[in-house]
Amino acid sequence: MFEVVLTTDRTMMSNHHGKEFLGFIATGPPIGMPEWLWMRLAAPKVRVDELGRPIEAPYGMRKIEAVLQEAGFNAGIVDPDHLHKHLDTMKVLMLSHHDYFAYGPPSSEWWALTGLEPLNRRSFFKLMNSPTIRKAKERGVKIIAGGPAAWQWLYELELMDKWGVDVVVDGEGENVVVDLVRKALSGEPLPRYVYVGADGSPKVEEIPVIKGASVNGLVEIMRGCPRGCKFCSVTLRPLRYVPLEKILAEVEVNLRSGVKGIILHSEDVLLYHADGVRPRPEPLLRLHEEVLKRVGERGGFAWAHASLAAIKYAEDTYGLMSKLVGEYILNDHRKLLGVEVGIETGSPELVRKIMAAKSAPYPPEQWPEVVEDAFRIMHENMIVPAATVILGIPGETPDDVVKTIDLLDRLKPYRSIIVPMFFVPMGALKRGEWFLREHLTREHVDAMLKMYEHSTYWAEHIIDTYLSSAVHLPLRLLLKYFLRYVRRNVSKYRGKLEELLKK
Amino acid sequence: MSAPPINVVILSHVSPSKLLTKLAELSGRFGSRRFNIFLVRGGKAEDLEELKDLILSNYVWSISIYLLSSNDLHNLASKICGGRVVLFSSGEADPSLREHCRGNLEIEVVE
Repeated sequence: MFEVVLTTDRTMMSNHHGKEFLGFIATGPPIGMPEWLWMRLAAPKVRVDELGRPIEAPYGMRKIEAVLQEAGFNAGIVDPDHLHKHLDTMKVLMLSHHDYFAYGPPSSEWWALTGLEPLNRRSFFKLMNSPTIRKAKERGVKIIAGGPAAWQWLYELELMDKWGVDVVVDGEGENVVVDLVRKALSGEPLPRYVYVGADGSPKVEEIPVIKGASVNGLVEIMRGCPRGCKFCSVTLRPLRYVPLEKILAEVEVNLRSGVKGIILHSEDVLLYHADGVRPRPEPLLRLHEEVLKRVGERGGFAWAHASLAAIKYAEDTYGLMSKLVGEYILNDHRKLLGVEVGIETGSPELVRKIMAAKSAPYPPEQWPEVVEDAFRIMHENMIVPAATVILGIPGETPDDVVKTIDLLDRLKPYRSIIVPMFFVPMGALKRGEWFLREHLTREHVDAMLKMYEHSTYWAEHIIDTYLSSAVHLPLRLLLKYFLRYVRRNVSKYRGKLEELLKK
Repeated sequence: MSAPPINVVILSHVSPSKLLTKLAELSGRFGSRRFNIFLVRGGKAEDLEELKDLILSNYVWSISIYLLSSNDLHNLASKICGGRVVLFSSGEADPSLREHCRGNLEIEVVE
């Protein structure tokens, strides 16, 4: 039994049926079906061992677990349903989350649009109010909360006291958790808030190899991003490339644990060992060759994120996208490659203001063409992007949104999901003003409806390919039911948005 | 993680801009980008509200914020683990802190 327990709520502690994109369903409120069914769809329970240790766990938690175990602590990740097994030994409870309070994208806009509390927030509250955690707190267990959404605690200070969260760690935790846990175990005074600045981030050699499998075999290939977009927190971190041998070691950890596929994680997979923002074929081909050799023909494979400019540059300069997809990634068992990309805006003026390097090596003026070319390249190569558009970026004008609508029109022929995101103050803009539904303009509503039409049109096709196997039939049917429900009810939400505009 | 952290004790009210400027100056002077900030208020999480602007304005420095109640003040010295201390105070430094710091810590009082 563990002295230091790491956990999170069910929306995070799940492999989402082996389909990472389904995890995003937990960022919305349950609509058109009961909460338990919505939960089953988004975040089914995971397999655990006799100690309640999940076979797959969120990657960031795996890193912290590895750091603590290498430092000699009796620490481990425990599924939220099995925390009670460790109640007698637990002295420190460590929490992590991508979106504790649903203030991040895309949870915040589903919440704003529907007026209903998203599932991830409900699930986290349920965990924190659970009898096991309350009992642990009564017994003097110290609670340390971290992860990518740690910043959200600054907006929920009362809950910090109510739930007895002793420390919040905001930033990369590898270099600070050992000292914090040591202090917590020895009863020394603890800071309430720790911000890990760029200088405190670990060097690549200080980042350990995970010791257990990550959710859907996610493996980090680099940290940080060189593009410097002002709305993004990742870009504030130093850029580090993970050596291939370390990546392969983590691939092996996952495959040995029975995970059936690998997701390469980076803010921009194509920039792995790139020449600045210009992708280089050699490191990318080697990376894919070595990883896919291990994954095998039947294993799953995806990228976390890629940038549109890198996709265009890689294909136009080296034919690299066709080569990677055609020769390494797709086959009879892997029929598409999923990836998240950022459009953010269709306005070159706004690109220049807030993400001047997003279009690099192409100039900001060329951004709409870069986006369209990249979408065409992905469509031709069966790469299916889940793309984001940010509404309400500081400095945005109605004309900027009109340009985004024009660009969305040009993207119609390309297989993709495009979702609106309301601006959330993060990164270099973290002191900025939140974009709330009260700030919606006619142009925003038009842009959102355009994205809705685009995504519901393509979703049907994508669901058929993404969930083509017989085991996924119930999921496929559920999602199609949901899609039909959304189509039937869109007029209701359109009406609500119109009402907001009149106020 | 090279130079030791700089300890900053906040007893009196200090504006976020004044605090930011002071931290930048201290960072330059002592060659450290790590700070321990001891905020002496009610010892509650809500006290962090006072430093929210500082946290949201920063992404370079590593900052650990300790929240102390005024009852904790006499124990403050034991919580400070070495290095330099900068005290934001409208008056004299707490005597126990002065006592503890004599000889091994350098105290600078900022009114």
